[in-house]
Amino acid sequence: MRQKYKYGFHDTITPLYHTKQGLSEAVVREISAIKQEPQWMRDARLRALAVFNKKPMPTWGADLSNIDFKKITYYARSSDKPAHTWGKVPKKIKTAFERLGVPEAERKFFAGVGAQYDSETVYHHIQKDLEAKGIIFTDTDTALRTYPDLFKQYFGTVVPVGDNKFSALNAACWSGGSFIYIPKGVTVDLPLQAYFRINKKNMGQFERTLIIADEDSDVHYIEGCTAPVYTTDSLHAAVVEIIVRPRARVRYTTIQNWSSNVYNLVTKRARAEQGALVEWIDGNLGSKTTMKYPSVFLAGAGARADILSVSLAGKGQHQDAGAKVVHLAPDTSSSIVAKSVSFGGGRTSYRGLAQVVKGAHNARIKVRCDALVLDKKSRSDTYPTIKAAENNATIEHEATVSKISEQELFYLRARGFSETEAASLVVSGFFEPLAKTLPIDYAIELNRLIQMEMESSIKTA
Amino acid sequence: MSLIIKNLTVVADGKEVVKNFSLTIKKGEIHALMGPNGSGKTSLCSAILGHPSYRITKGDILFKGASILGLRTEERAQLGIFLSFQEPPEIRGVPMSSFLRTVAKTHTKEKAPDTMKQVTMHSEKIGLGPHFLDRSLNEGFSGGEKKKSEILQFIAAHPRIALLDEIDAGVDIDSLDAIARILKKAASQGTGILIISHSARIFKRCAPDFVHIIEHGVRIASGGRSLLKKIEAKGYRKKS
Repeated sequence: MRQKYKYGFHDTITPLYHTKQGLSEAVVREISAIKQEPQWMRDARLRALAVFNKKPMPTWGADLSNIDFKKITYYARSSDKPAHTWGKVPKKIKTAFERLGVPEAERKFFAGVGAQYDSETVYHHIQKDLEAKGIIFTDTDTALRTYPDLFKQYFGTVVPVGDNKFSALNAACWSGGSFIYIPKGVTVDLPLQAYFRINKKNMGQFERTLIIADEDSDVHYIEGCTAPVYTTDSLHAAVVEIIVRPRARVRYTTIQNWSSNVYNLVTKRARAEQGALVEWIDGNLGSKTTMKYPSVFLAGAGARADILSVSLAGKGQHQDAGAKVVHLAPDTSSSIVAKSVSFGGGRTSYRGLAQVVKGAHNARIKVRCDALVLDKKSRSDTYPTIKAAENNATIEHEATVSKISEQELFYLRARGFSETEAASLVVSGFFEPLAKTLPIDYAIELNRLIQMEMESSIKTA
Repeated sequence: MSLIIKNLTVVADGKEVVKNFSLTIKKGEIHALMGPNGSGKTSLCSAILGHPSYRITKGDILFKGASILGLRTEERAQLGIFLSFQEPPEIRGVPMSSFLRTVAKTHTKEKAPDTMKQVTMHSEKIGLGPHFLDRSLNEGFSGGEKKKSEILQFIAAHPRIALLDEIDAGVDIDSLDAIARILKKAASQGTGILIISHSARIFKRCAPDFVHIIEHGVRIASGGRSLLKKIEAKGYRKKS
């Protein structure tokens, strides 16, 4: 079957309003003014802009030299206010989401859907039982207006403004994203889910997500990204901050399938307090270049981190992904599993940090990287950094690079599978640890995407 | 439905591994192919299925009256030629059960549900119970378990011609009896079978119609079952 990139359409919606291309103090002030933000947020944006301007482009990872900050629109919105019911969502936007299957997904599996269209969330629906439990699940702009104290207490506490060039960029011009607060002792039974999509030529998307899981609470958040294909480069620089209070657990799942022109430079970080558990599941399938290292600061005794990073890089793609764990307290443990597949000239890198600071006794860290390289044109590298200031830390690091052997392919072809089917089967099998953490519809879509990627790669080989 | 191997010469790594080899396997026949290690048995099978590392420099392979040399491996498989591997690879993350279902669907089309019933029934008989079907294809299987996995794939594929490369290696006696019954039944339903083995164990349970001996890539002898006894008594080499 011949298929074009499934979500490679874009709609003819003209944003109601957008700033002119390029970033300046005036643009940042304009964004803040449109949003009628409090002074402290405007000041924070301006401070962030100064940091962004001062920091050099990072050169230690993927090639970012083609990003032209002057050609990016930093703010756009397609309707005036976030809509809270499906019925109020503008029709054109609804049509686009229906093509992505959002309503079905909501009906079947998920408790709430926050969908981001252009820079601002236009649809946010919170099911009644969430509200009844005191759970806040809204877009970040609304949260700033509605819950100013809670917002100010946590915003920027895990990823400070000056953390890195792209988190500073986000802090200067953020718009949209999800805000979640789970009260003490509350368990959210079904995953909360959000879809993201870029839908304006050359438009940057700078959503900001803030999750606070109060003591003894439990939540799983899923974001899935699909984006239309454009010919010019797009930039996605999101920031995700998660505060996990004592004994709470947060699982954050991302399936990123940006179109092949997007620079995906995301800062994701969680702070785990005493006895808390953070689980990052990070699947990177799309984009031109991704640099993303979900991090956990294990700040309380007995805190745990479990990170699964999975990436797939085809022709023209570089997935520079990995994870960071910083053990700040005693008896903390972390596990990182990174799996990558490169094919058709694609490149994957594992970049990771495992750090134990002075006083963090009996830390346990386990890192495992498996790379599958499908052909000679493709490449995989590992850049692990280990820093241990305590000698009673247990740190294990294992890395393997494998190929699909001629024998495996021959075996599967001798069972009647085509070369494409055989390769997809092996790659899907390799990704099975990711697939089994996902709701069934995601898992099926993941396998479909892998098959499509393999088809295009073998056709162009 | 015959598979006709005609004066076949196969080159791998610059060496002739099969030389001027001829053999015809007809519908429902069971052939035994024996020979010392490195005599070209596995190379012959690989060449019949079109392994990219095995180049055919002379001769032809015909199936259903037409040459299959221009066909890809999967096309040969889809025509109904099955190869059971001497050393089946492990494919992690691919569950046995769904793999077998896909094989059944590819090869037996609308009859796949019936085929799968056969697979499930026999999986118990050869001692690969349901918990094996939940596991990844061949992953962590013992040598004998891998052979049993091959037999289940054989049932799922329901082939016209089956080349079974050391299907008996590492298999316990009870399971070997079950495998022999499966093969005899398949032959009675028309599958032409070539069994490669070092050992007479399998042939005592699944008597071949023809026996061939290969050495240094050359077929040095052929005959009926009586040849098996000679080999057992004297080894492969004719005393000259």
